[in-house]
Amino acid sequence: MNEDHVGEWFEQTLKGSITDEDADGFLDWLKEDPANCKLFRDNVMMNLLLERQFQMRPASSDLLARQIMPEYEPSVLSEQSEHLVPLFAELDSRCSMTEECDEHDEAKKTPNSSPDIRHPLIRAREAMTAKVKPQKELDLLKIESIPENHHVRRANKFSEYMFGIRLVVFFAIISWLAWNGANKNDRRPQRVGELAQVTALIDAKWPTDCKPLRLGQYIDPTKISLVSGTVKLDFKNGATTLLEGPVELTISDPLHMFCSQGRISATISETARGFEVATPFATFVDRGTEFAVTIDQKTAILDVVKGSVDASVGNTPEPYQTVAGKSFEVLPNRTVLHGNANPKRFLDEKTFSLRMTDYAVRKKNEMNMLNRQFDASPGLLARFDFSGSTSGTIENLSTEGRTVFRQASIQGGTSVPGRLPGSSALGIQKRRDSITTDLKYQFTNMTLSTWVRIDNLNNTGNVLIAGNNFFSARNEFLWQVVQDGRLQFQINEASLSDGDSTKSTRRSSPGDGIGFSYFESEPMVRPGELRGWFHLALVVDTTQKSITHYLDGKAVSTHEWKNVSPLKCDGLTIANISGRTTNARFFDGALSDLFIFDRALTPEEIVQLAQH
Amino acid sequence: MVRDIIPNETRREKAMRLFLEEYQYVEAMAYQLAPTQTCHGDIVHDVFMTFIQNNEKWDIDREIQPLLAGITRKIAKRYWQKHLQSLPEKIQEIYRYAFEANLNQTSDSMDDTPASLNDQLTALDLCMKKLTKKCSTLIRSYYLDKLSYKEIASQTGQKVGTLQKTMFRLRQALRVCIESILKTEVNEK
Repeated sequence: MNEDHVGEWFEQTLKGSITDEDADGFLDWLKEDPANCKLFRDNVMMNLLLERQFQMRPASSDLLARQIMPEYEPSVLSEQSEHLVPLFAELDSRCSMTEECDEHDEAKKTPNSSPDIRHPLIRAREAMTAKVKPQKELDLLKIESIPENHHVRRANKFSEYMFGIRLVVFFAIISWLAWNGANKNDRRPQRVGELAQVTALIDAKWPTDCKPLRLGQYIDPTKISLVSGTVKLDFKNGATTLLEGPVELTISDPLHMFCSQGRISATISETARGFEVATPFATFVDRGTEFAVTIDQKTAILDVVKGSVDASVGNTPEPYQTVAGKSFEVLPNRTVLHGNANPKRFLDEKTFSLRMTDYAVRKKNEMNMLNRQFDASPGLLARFDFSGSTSGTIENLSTEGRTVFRQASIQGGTSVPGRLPGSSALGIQKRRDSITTDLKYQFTNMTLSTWVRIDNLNNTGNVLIAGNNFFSARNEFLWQVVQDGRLQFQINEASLSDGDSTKSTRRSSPGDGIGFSYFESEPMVRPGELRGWFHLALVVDTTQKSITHYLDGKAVSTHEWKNVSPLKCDGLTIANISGRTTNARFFDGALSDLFIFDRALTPEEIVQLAQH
Repeated sequence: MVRDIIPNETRREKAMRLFLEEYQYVEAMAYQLAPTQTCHGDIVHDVFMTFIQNNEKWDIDREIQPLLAGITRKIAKRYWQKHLQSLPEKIQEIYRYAFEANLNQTSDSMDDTPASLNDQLTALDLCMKKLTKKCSTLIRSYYLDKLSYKEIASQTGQKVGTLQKTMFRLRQALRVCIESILKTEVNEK
């Protein structure tokens, strides 16, 4: 058998252009020896691997190709790479409906100042609620008069005792009201996350001028504008709703929402019976059921899956009752149409589950490609996904980084649901939980990137990463989120070893080389967003003499670092720096996908990390 | 392997989590068995959907790798059948002969757990750095610049057949290089 032809035959077979005669020859060669079959399979697989290798390279990443093929000219590569598939090209234009939303719209400064989109029933209910408040204040005045009565019966010790208690209660209530009032002046929610939790997001896109709803976030009464995708909200009272974009929705309390556009599927438990979806054309009130409402400019359609739903249209004295398997449609002229429920019109739990699984696989695939891309790029010192075991040691997943240090050890921590469906992350809630590494390194430039879920801001600092000797050694650093939600990076620019102990505790202006330099953003993590997933990144670029904080892929603050000198660490601790201070400085929440680079990533690379 | 227990996790959520823990294994298997590059992702996707939809039929508390291997092989076979239908009969015969044994292999008879696709691609990066300039130019021209053998031949002055033979051997050499790197890594671990 002429083996010289095998290469040609193989290429022709791949292209599907092999002649019958050559195919017979090729087949004979395969049958000659099982090893030939393996050779054939290896070539097929290598062909796929090489195709993948070059296809997955993002157009912007010349660096990678240059690293693999140094002789390749960058300019040529840029031209050539235009036809390659960019991995993470599109920047998500997502947004949310928290306080920031309202800042873009003067008409929505307070929830009550947007009556134009609210249903009359909701307005009436709010008016009723408002009437109750003065009554409460009156009750308080009654309590205030109690001490006078007690002066009359001073001899009675029991009464004195009761007087004391009432006095304490009175002051407690007054303090609570004062605190409450102050909070109202600050336009901060009194208590956050009392209403519902965002338990799933699938390809959700938000209006560009607002912040996105985050997975895991708890929400208060709010307006939701979803451009596309699917959002699942689990209400604390047991109701579950699936929103399919585009949606315009206002949630006023746990039992009421007004929807002017979109598709809502609701599963209502016993405890949430009476759940109401108001629309411009009709109001639907649950009577223990599972139902869906589809609203557009022309119509509102109700499909009942289980149980029954009451529909009120205009001033009709009695509501229309729609039972399982039936639909109810209202046109703008109040015409009512009855029909059969159409499952294609709404998103049921089963379809939603399938979408979730599909989304999970897609995201996982994207994550793998991204990890591989960064693994192949230079300067990745460490990568931890925190998805595996939460005890003992975890491997540094960076190929290049493993030559510097191989593993980190976890103390404490629990496995908690991660930011993607079916994934897990490392939950850290205790003072002693931490991840320690023996990374001894001097950074010229540095990039830190991680996904975080912050559960509260009560700690002095939610520490992300800190040098083990941050408090005592010059040029060690600390990256954290402080109590008011600022992203903060500190560098120890003067240590005790300098012989001036006052310097070590002195807060200096950024980068003046004296004391601790602080580089911090404005408050970025707001109480209303706690328990939601964020992407945080920090880039230290010594050539530009700059330090930049990123939130969700966007640069939120850039600072000049005048006194540039190489940052260093003699061991790194993740999520904790307690033990050195009286104040608690440990992370409270969950961590996922941590990257440490010894180079300054470009904004485009930060976007890639934040999108996946 | 000790799997962490997540409180209040439903069976479906657990199935999803377990699958994602084995994702790299399934991905590597799918890559080994896929008829085309695009199929590879589809196979993983189908395995996932099959596993999640039918998770109640199986005991997912036990080792799920053999189960996932079985599902992957079954789905890959389906993709092969579909793929082969579009090819001339003779080519179908070639592929069937070369891949049949692989697709019918049981999990017990498999030599090794396949290395993850990420590891293979990382190893490929390393191997490609070792190539001579001539070889790396050939790879670059064919896979990155998407030039045909004819075009490369006209640029380099070589015969098409020679280039095809070189490419066939080059792929084989890369395969051997990757396998040796992956083997070293496994031994180190």
